[in-house]
Amino acid sequence: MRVFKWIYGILLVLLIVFPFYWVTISSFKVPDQILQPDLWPKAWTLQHYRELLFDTPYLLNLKNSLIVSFGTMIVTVMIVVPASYAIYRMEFKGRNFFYKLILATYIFPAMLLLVPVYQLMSKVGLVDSLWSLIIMNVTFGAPFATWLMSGFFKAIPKTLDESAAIDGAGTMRILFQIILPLIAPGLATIAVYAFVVSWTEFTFASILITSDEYKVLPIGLSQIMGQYTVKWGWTTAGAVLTLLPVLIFFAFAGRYFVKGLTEGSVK
Amino acid sequence: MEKEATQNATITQRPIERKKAKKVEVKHFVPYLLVSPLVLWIVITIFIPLSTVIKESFYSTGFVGTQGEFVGLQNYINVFTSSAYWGSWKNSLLWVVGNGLTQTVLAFSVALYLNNKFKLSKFARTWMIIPWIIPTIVVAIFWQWIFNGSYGIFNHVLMGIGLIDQPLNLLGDPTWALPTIIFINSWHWFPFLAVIILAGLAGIPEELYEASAVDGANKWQQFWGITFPSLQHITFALGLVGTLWMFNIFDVIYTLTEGGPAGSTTTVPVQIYQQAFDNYELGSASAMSVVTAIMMVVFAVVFIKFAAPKDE
Repeated sequence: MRVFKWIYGILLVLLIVFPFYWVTISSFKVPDQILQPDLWPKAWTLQHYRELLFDTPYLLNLKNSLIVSFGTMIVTVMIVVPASYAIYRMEFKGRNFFYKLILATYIFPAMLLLVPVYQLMSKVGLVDSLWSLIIMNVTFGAPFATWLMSGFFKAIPKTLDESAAIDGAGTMRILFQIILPLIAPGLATIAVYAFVVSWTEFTFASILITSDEYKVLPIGLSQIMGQYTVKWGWTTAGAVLTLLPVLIFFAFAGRYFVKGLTEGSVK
Repeated sequence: MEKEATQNATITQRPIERKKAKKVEVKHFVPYLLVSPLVLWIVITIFIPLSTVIKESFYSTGFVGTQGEFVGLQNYINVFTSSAYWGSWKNSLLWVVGNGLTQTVLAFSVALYLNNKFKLSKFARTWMIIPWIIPTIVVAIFWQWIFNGSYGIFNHVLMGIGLIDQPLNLLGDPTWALPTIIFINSWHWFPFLAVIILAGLAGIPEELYEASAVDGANKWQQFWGITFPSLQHITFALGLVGTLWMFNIFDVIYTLTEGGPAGSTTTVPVQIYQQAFDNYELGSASAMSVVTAIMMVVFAVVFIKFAAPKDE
């Protein structure tokens, strides 16, 4: 039983880790060895990275991705926190309706919205603008972020806002001075969530952005992949350089994020 | 409820204090002020576009951006008689069920594993989620590189241990393509599920297990008797949201196979995309969208009605 447990554990770790290892190690192999199945490169090279950085629009894509992800993150927090505060801590007519309306967004496949969103964006002149991506990423991140906040709000005793209200504090003061510091882990969680949603979004980014100037990383990467199917050096190096920023971000915020995801989803 | 009661009490107790009364009055529009940015955002980016889809489904529009003629229910008739559309439903059902099973098994096994405390368990709990936080396109590259039909490491290993004599082209084979992408997508998503399940596991009181152990229950009986029922809220939420999420997935399929080979991985979202952007049939793509959305709503309503945990 114990041995079986060990073997199973090792298999699970391998399942998660091996793809990361294999692509990373491949990206350092010299071109004529990259197709060889060696678990350790015979010779190391940074050639693919150098070419990727200087011969492809990688850096431009990275810049765009960072703008979109941080933009989405800020907007999501700014609109989700007040909304979830109202929904989870206040009584008002239509509360349930708003709650259901926000959750109903899960039901409709994003695919259905692709065409009309494109039309809408072109009407308001936002096609081929990073704003269009920020706007849509907020739409797709916000409902789950709102739901995640419920756990954090429920963890704060209701008597707290009541006594503050009796003491004469206005709603805004209660939110900013009393509640906000208490839900800080929740803010971190939805911020990371919004960042990740944005960093990984592909479909809308591929339709709403037409010029190379505004392409984000996933799109840039898929073009490198499609145009140069033989260039596995670029593809693997590109994959590494696309996941690296999220890994760095996650190294700082990951602990809070997983903890927040855990706490937000059960309570 | 409690809150409202307190507010009312404040009003009735101190009706003369105008300042207090005013404050309570102000509060009435504050919640609307707080929810309105999010609600407006969603209405503008989801519900207004949805109404465009409904309108478009009655027109013969071809290219995006052109104006077609009003054709009444013609697009719907085409959709209901379209074998391509209903064929994509078959793939979508396989996709949803396949992902559901694979991810549930993987996520539960990881969660049950990490629910025990060991040296690296904290580290593992945080970092096991990385497959979920990386872009789909990177996931696609990972596995395309591993499963590559001519020089992928997967084929090397299988041939090395003598399981196969010829390299398999998993993504290029109509039989294997769908299961392969289901596996790849499950790899992408199971860590997220595992985190949620772990959260649920952490909420189960240890005494329940201790008491049942005294009564002589084995691990398996404990799982079905305690663990599983305790997680019913979570399994319900994941069953509903997870199914909708999985159904809607497009990018991993499109980047890996574009719906092929021979349509074997054309799920409903892929079909709608192709109808609109490859076949330039925006009108019928919109009709497909409407039919799909209605079926999703029906699914959600039925699921909530029959699967919602009883105690609420």
